[in-house]
This record gives sequence, structure tokens and C-alpha cells, in this order.
Amino acid sequence: MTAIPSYLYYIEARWRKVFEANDYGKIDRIIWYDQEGVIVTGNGRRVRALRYADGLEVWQLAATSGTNSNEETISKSCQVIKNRFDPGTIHILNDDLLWSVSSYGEMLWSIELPTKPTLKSLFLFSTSQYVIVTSLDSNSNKLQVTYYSKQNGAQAFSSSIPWSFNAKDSQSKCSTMNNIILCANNAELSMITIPTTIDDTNINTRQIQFSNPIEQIRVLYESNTRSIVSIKTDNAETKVYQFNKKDSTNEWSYHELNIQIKSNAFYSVVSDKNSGGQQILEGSASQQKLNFYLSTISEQTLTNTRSYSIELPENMGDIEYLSYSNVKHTQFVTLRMQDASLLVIKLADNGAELILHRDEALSSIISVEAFDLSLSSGQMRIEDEFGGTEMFSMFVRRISSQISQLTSFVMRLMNMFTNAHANREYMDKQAALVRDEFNLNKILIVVTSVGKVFGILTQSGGILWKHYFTDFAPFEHFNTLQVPLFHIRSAAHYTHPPLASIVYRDRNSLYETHVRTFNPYTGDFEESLSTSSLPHRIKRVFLSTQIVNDFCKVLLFVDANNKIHTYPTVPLSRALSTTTPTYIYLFDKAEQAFIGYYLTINENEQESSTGLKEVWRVAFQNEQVINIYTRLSSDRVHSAGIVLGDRSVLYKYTNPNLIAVVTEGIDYQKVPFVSIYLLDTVTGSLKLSHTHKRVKSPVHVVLAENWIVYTYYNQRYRRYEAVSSSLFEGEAQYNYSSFSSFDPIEPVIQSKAYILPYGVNAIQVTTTEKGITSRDIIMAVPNGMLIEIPWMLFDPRRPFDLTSMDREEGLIMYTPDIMVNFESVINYYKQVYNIRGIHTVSTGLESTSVVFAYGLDMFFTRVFPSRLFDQLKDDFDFMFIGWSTVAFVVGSFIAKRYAAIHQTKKAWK
Amino acid sequence: MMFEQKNLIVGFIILIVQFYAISTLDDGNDGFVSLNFEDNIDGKFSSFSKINVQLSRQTEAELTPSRTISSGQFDRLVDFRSDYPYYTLKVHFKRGTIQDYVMTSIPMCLVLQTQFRYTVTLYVNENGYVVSAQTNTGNSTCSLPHLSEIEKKSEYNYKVSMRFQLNEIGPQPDTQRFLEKLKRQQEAKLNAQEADNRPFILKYWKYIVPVVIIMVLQSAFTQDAGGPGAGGGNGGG
Repeated sequence: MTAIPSYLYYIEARWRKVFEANDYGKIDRIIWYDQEGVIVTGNGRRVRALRYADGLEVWQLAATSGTNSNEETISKSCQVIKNRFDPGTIHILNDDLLWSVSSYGEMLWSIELPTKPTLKSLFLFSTSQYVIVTSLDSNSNKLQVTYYSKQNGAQAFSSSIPWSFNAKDSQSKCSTMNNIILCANNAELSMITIPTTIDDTNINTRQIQFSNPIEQIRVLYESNTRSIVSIKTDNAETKVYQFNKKDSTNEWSYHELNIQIKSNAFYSVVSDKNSGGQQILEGSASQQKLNFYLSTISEQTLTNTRSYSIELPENMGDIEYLSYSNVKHTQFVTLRMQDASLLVIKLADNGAELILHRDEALSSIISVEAFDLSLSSGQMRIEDEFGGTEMFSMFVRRISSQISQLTSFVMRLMNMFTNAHANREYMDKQAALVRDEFNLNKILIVVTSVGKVFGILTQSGGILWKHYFTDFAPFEHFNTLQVPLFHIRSAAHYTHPPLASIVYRDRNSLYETHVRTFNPYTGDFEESLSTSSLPHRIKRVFLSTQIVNDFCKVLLFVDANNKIHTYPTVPLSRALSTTTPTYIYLFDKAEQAFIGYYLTINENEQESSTGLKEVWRVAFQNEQVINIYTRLSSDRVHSAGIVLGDRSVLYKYTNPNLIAVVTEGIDYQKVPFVSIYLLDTVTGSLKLSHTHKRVKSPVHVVLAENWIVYTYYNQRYRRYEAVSSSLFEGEAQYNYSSFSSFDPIEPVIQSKAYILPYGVNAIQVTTTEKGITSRDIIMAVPNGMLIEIPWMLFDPRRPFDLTSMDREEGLIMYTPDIMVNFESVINYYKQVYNIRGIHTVSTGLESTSVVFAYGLDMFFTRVFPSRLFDQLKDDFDFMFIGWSTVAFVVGSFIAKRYAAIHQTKKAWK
Repeated sequence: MMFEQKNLIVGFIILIVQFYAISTLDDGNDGFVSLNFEDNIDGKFSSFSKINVQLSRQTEAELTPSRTISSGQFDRLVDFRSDYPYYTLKVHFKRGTIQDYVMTSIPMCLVLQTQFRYTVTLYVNENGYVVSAQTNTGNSTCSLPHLSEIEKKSEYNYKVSMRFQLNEIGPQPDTQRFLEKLKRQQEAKLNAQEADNRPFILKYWKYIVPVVIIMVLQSAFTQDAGGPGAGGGNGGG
């Protein structure tokens, strides 16, 4: 996460600062000073100070180093320490660079360290005179200790000590504390003291034995004379040790502290300014309860222990991070829980009190589905009203339903008058859960990467329910995280509530798959459709095309042996259509190949598993598939062709079986390229293949109707570009009634490229119910805007020279850049950052599509790509139209009368 | 001096080699690719044609089949349609050290209908490797009665033509052409302005003449009408 919210005592976030979305924004360490915090990001390459009071970035420094220009070799490890003898100086070490920064924003010095493949910088220490870098020489298995002057970075001297760990183990199993390296060597803790002066050459090594292998070492507190360390062994038992420096020597003595919670606990130590000693806070979570023990550390033991416990409003899993602070005699505990919740708890004499709870999980959404709200009872009865077969029964039904409608209307009016204010909030909430006239409000089900699922009402953005799955782990899908989320039963069956299913892996054993089915309105589980473990390793999951039991669809799984299973178990002939053949495709990552299968369904077969027959294979040699894109399931094609200026029709090639495949590679001249393919998933043939040289991902793709729009970064011109391609059958249509991938159609492709004014974080196309409304592209850009661009501007048929025919057709002249009008920013000044995905849903109104953008922030709105053609404007003058109608009716009666008189008179003449 | 000359020669050779390399690689898809076509009409994949061709956009080759389909086999395929619903073509390719295969399928009856006459399109990627294949018989539907009407032969021959479809270079924003167009428009505008250096009267006589005529006529009419009007006035007095 790249945002640091600051909280002010009981209240909302006062400010926030969003860092870069790339590696440069990743926080390595924060050093807290009195007025401002110094934040080191980008693997020790950028340092900046933020003022607590207002979030102002006081200063920023960037490391200048030879490797800085080459972004791809950003080193993975980074050490940041505050000089123990001079707290205003910060030393930063990444692989090949050592630099010092003062807390007021001055770069003191920076030196490049020798880079050798066998030499790996590991630890960083500081003394009043030196900055000490220890690096592992894997050739000689020795730890080189190099001393640099604290003043100017000049190398003073170096020595070496024998070392038994390899580089990876040294990083994962060791930590540093003052001038000591603590390393876990199975059940043994080694303490290696690094000499701090030239005169001292005595390398001191000591061991502490444990009964079980050590899993984790955490330094809780360090000062020049005292350190406190927690050591966790693999049976979840934790011991806390206190290290004291012996006076005037370089030696440390240690002893164990008698802590209260021995297992699964987190510890935080702060120094108590009043007594000069330290306080230790122990915290542990059990179910929905948090327990804390706060003690004062005396010389050898813990005294003055107080215990606190607090009931949490929901299950949040275990503690992931705990920090205790004592501000002006008020004791706060800040926690991050496993479900990414941020908690601030105040400890007082009368107990613990939860003063802040934020669901930070909402910034890590990976799957979104929108559900229609349920029908109101009145709307449901309409279905009954037109039932019946006999004349009499139809009449009775109609009358009775109309009477009930009338009574409910009268009841509602009565209710409104009698208790207008009494239950207003409750009634509003109830009303919010009923589908509105135009089906504009939905329930969004969002699944986050930490395993928390939320039901969000779009009308208000309020969270209706949330649930945390403690055993959750997402699937990986082309280098991104994914959780399949399905509509098992839609809201169309008003007698049954809708159902949604998610499929995820087990956190501990990744081959185990869980299926959970729940009601999207309430979050209640449908236990009969949930399972904690499927008996097979799954490769792919998809939804049945047919409705099976109780209007529910079933899930189909492809297992590792290419067998199909259904959940719940039903014969395959019931889950899939037997008249239209089913094809599925799988991706083989090792061979970079897509393999298409034909699913044979035997109608007599009662088994739920069946084999797949391989029918096509598409192999990408010397290319790497980076992502695939499919059309939205809600994509509708309204017209089969485009009427041209001369009244002839250009037919669209609307192949529903296409997917877009994006690959990356390097050609024979060592030039990087990106290729975009449109792959037919029935025959395995390519309908479009574009290669762009000197182009870099991320590539964002939108595939809809007969067109594709994709964006990429052009390295040569250093700009973002979009390419739009449309596929046409031509002037004649091969088959007007149905489409088959086996049709011998060679689609005609028209393409144009455009320069985009901004970078792209995500793109999506608007969806409407019938697809009549024109399409808009919604684009999330890095500066926080969501821009709505008409697809007409991306139209590949935009001509260079506009003829009268083109004008008749409504084409716009080609300009190489897409102009973005600030009116088309749909989020106005409410900037949203680091958007990763956009979800669009159709509504009951053809003109309206709803847009949900998610990433670090979330944004929801309605858009009208062809304006409001099916709705009256808010300021429509109903009174005027009413009165003028009345006036016309009255006028016509008067005119009729006068006309009659006139006719009579005329007859008499 | 000698050393310098040597250097020069080496440089020259390098240049030639580079030039050669560029000229041969200019197409991006130089060299030959060996292809081996297999199909599944025997229930398993077996080769029916091998070819070694130059990779280029223009290559169009007729495959020379290494075997024929006997009438018995053909009849069996017609009878056992349901067991072999798909005619699957497997194309092995080898280019340099890399070899792999691609596959594609179409309903078996389409192939039977055309008596094994179809075209194969091989899609080739940027680095010159076959990515995908497509077979086309020119039809997408077949009827069972139609199959039985096919004239009986003692053996059926493959008649397969093959072509390559190379990756296209993706479009670029056409700023050059757009700027040229703007320039042309600007020039046209300037020319139009320059050519028209006639005096004011000559340029706008079309607008001036009607105004003048109207004014003349109006003044004439007001004079005519002024007489009787004045007379009327007098009469009134």
C-alpha cells in the first residue's frame, strides 16, 4: 500500500499522500521524528519527509547512481538505519549504494559500493564514527566488514570474519541489533558481535540453545545499552529476551523475561519517559477478542502487569502488526489485523476502547460482481396478475391483485402520515434494498486479496455486510491475483433469493480448493452449496450454461487430468447444452501454448466427470503471454452492420468466441515488442495479429462487439498510445441468422492508432441492456481522473479527408491525438488513485450504464453515453405540459361548439 | 600504419557482414521452415505431407500428399461420423533449432464433403515461428444426404493448398500525414487569399449591385408614392 493516512485522535483521516504506483512508491521504512516522518521508498532510492500536521512533503531526495536509470535492476534488498549516536542522521544501504541523509533533508554523502556477483551487502551498523557495512563474499564464505567514515563516507578499513550462512539464509534468518547480528541456526541462536572501533578486533560469538527450531527473530526495542528481542520457535512458542550491555565493555548479558502470553502473541516495547524504564505490551487475538497485557520492565522481571481485553465487532483473524504508544498519558494500541483492518484501541483504567476501525481491505479488491436488488412485493405480484388459464380465474386474479395493490398503497399512505419521523431511517434502509423503478441501484459484491468479501449498496456506498474468510488465498492468473466470483442464481427468480459463489484456494495447502455460496443481499451462507475441499486439483472453473436445480447454475471444474467435474454433482448433460457444442481452452504456462478442447457429452452418462478431446493448439514460441482478455458477459450487439453514407451496409464480424491475447517478446534485432492477437477459441485460428516494436506493457485491452481497443506505452516516442481495430465481414453477410466459427469468413480489419494525452491505469467500455446506446470508453489515468471518451473518437474508420458520405454517416475527421475535454472527467474533483480495474453494469434504462472503478480508491457513478434519450430531465416542466393539455382539451371542446354553430348558421344561409 | 589498415579492413568486413545480415533479415522471416502435416483420419495422427518452404507473405504452396484415402476408409469415416466428429490437422514445424506443433480442427463432414480439398493458413509470429493454423473448406454446413451423393471413387486424393499469414506491424498514429494535410490546407488558404487581389468593387460587386438597385428603386417608389400621398393630405385638409 502506498498511502499513509494520518489519524487524529478519534477522528477521520486528515490528509493522505499517495506515492508512486510503481516500485518507487513502495515503502521500505519510516523513521518517526517529532514533527515529521522520514520515509524511505523504492528500495532505498528515494527519501522524503512528511510533516504530521498537514501532510506537507517537506523535502525529497533521490539517490543518484549509475543503476538508477535502469529501472529493471532495482535491487531487492535495502537496509535503513538511524544512527544510534546521532539520531538526526539516516544511513541507507541498498545493494550497491550507501548514502547518508540528515533529518532536515540534506544529502550528506553517497558512495557506490563495489559490485561483484559474489559479493552481497547484508547488514548495516552505525557507531559515532563509522557506518559499518557487512557483505557476504560467497567465494570464500567470509563476512567482509567494511568501515566507512560517518562524516564523509570514506572507507576507513575493513576486516573479515568467517560466516556459515548463505546469502538467502542470512537475509531471512538474521536480524541486527546494535552491533550484534542475531542468526537463527535451527534450534540455536547465534550472537555475533561486530567490533565498533579499530582497536577492538575481538569478534565475539555466543550461542543460546532452544528446544525447538527458531522461526522468527524480532527486535522489539534497542537503545545503546539495552535491547529487547522476541524469538518465536516453530511450535508457536515465543520467548522475550532482554539484553543489557555491560558497562565500559563491548559485551552483552541477557536474560529471559517472564511474559504473560507465551504463544501466538505480538509484543511492542516503548520506553517510559517518566521512569526511564520500558513498558511491554503483549497482544493476542482469539476469535473476536483481543487480549492485552501491559507491564513495566524492571531489571529482571515484569512488574505492574495490567490486563485488558476487548470484543471486536467482527472476526478479523490474527494480529499482523502491533504497536503501542503512550501519548500524553493516553495509551494507544495500533493494530493491523489479518483481514487488513486498521484498529486503534485506547487503553484506560476502565478498560480498552475501540476508537478507530477502517477496512483497509477495500483497497485490494480483485473481483467484482453486481447483483440486481430484489423486487418489491408489489412488483412481484405483477407476475401473478397475468397468470391463469381460464377466463374466470384470470379475471379473479387480476381483480384480487389490483385490490391488494390499492390496499398496500393506502396502507403506505397511512403509514407515511402516522409515523413520518419515527422510523425514517429504518424505512429508508428497507427502501434501499428494494429494486428501484429503473433498476439503477445494485449490490456490489467485492472480493479482496486478503479474503474479505463485502456487500456494498451502490446507492449510498454503505457496506451492507462483510465476511472474512480466514483460510483464503487467491488464484494466480497471468501474474495477477484472481478469485472466480459467479452468479449462481440471478435475482430474476423472485421466489428464490439470488446466490453468488466464490472459489478460492486454501491459505495453507494451495492445492485445496474451497467453494462458498452466499446470498448477496445478506451475506448468509448457503451451506448446502459450500464445500471446504474439492477432491481434485483444479486448473480452471467456469459456470454451467444451463439452470439445474432450484434455478441454480452449477460450477464446472477442469482438474489436473483434464477431467470435468461439476459442483454440486449433476450429470454433465444437464449442466451444459447438448445441442450446441462446448469448447474450452486452457493455457500451458511451461510451453506458452493455448490448447483448445471439445467437450463430449454423453446423454446417458450419469457421472459428473468426463474427458476432454484436444482439438487445437496455439503455441507462442519466443513470446511470453502476459495476459488475456475476454468480452464482458453482458456485451450485447444490437445491430449487425453499419449503414454507410451511400445507404449500403457494412456488416460487422461479431464472433462471440474471440479472446484477445497479449504477448511480449524480443525480436532478432534485440528490439522488444508487444503483440496483440485475436484468437478464436473454437478453431484456434487468429483473426488479428498486430506487432508493435519498441513498445512496453502494461497493455490494457477492451474487447466488445466487433472491435478491440488497446493501449500501451511507446518507448520510442515516450507516450501512451491507443490502437483501435474493427472487424467486418464486408458488404455481404455470410449467414444472417447465426454465427459459426467454422464459417469461411476472412474478416476485413480496419485499424487506426491514436496518441493518448495521459497514461492509462485501467480501461473499460460501458454496458447497456440492449446495446443500442453508443459506447464510451472509461479510462482511469494516473493523475486520479476517470475519463469518459466516446468510442466514436477511437473509431478506426475516421477518415483523413472527410467526404460528404462520411459526413452523412456521422464520422469524425482523423486527428492523431485524442482530445480530452475536461467535461468528460466523470469523477470531477474527487480524484481516485491507482485504479486497477473498472466494472460496468447495465441498468433498466437503455441510456444508462453504471461504472464502478476500484484500486486504492473506489468510485461509483452513472454514465449516459448517448445522453438521456429515454428519461425526462429533472427540470422538466410537468405543470406547463399538464396545463397546456388541459387548455387544449377545453379549447377543442369550445372550438367544436363554435364550429357546430358556424355550420348551422352556414346551412341557414 | 599497417595496423590502421588492418583495422580498416576488419571494420569493412564487419560492415559487409552487418549489411549482409540486415539484408537477409530484412524480411524478418528469412530462411526456410520445414513443415510436417498430420491428420487424424486413422484414429491417430499420421503424416500425409512434408514440405520445406521459404517463409514469406507470398508463399503459396500446394501440398504433395504422401498417401491417399481409400474408398473403404472414406466410407468408414462417413459411417463413423459420430466417433470422429472432428478432422484435426496437426502441423509440426522446425525452424533453426526450435520445433513445436500447432493444431486446428473442423467438423469431419466438411472435409468429406469437399473430398479432402481445403486450404490451410499458417499464422506466423514476429520471430518467424508458426503460432496457429486454420483450415478452410469454403463451407460451414454439411448435410448428411449430401455426403451420400458424393460420387464414389476408388481412392480420394488430398488437395491441400497452404499459405502463410505473417503478423502485421501494428498501426502508428499518423501524425506525418495529418501534419501534411494541415500544411496543405494552410497553403490552400494562403493561395486563395493571395490570388484575390482585385479592387474592392470588382470583388464584391455581387453584393453591392443588388443593394444599389434596391436603394434606387426604393427612392423611385417613394417619390412616386409621395405625390399621391401628399395629394391625399391636401384633399383631407
